[in-house]
Amino acid sequence: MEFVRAWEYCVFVLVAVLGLLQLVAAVNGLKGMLFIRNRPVTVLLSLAAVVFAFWWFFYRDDRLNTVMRRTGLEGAQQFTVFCWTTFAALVATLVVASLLNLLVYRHRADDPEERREGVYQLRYVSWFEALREAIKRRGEGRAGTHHQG
Amino acid sequence: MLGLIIRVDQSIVLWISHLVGQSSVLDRVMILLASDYFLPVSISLVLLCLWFSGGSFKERDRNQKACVCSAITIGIAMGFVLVANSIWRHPHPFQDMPQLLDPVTNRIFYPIHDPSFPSNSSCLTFAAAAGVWHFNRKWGYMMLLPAVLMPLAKVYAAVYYPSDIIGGIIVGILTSYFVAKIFMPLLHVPVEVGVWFLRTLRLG
Repeated sequence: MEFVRAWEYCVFVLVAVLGLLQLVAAVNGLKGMLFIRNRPVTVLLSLAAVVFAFWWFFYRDDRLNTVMRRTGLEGAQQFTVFCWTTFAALVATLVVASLLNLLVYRHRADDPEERREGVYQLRYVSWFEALREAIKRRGEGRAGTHHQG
Repeated sequence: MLGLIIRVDQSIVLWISHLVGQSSVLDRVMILLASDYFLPVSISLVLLCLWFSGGSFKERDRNQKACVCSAITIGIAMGFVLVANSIWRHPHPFQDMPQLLDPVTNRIFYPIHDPSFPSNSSCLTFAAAAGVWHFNRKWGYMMLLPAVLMPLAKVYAAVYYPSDIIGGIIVGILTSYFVAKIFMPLLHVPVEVGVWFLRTLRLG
């Protein structure tokens, strides 16, 4: 008897979260998280990724009428897989986007003071650069998130 | 009183279960909504989206606190459900009315083994929505839609009685109130430290 396996759930969550993070980054202008710097293309591709993930998990091979009506992963197992996969997708997004920024785009945006705050620093720099600046600032004895614009 | 509630519950479930098999489109929609994966993952993705949204620092701070509140509420509320389930083993509609098992429950969902009261799916969805609502009304109201749809699909599948759903909703909402008004202000420092840590890592 076929049922939902952990690896299938993991792939589903990974693709959906990767797509969603790109979508959120494009909508909120977080360039440091983007794989592709073209906003309409990113929105389109990320929506396609999320829709594909849901289609693949729920509809391929008529799974809605078979495996979805059977017990599969336990709640605790689902929670664990979801958390680790989301974390992996987030780290992968930040690392890949930083590498792309370093190797392909090589572009640094304007440097306004307000970019010091949290994840929105990724509007201006890549994650690697943001981390480096945060560590540097901490080394200078100044708070990294003191500016709340 | 309990007898009256059970009679009302059973008549509502019997009335709704008559709809099963009449429209294949409705059945497929209900299979999707009742699924263990569709709405829980969708709600989690909405929370992830909320975490990164907001135009100003103040708005983002509020959204991130909404996510934290929602996550803590879900955790605590599911703990309450577990405790309630271990104290009182209430049967499911398909156990009280075995004639519904094959044509209704097995057609839409599957016969679950956990006790019925309070419903863990309504508790989870309402805990998520109410947790967000305390910090962001707009997103909280938006999350009411999946919060209502999943329990509705479970009643359609004769997996829960309406009173189980209401029980889950009450547990979810009361827990969110407890978390937003008492737990989070009480644990203000660890919450702020956690959020500060994520902001330093540029993840929040």
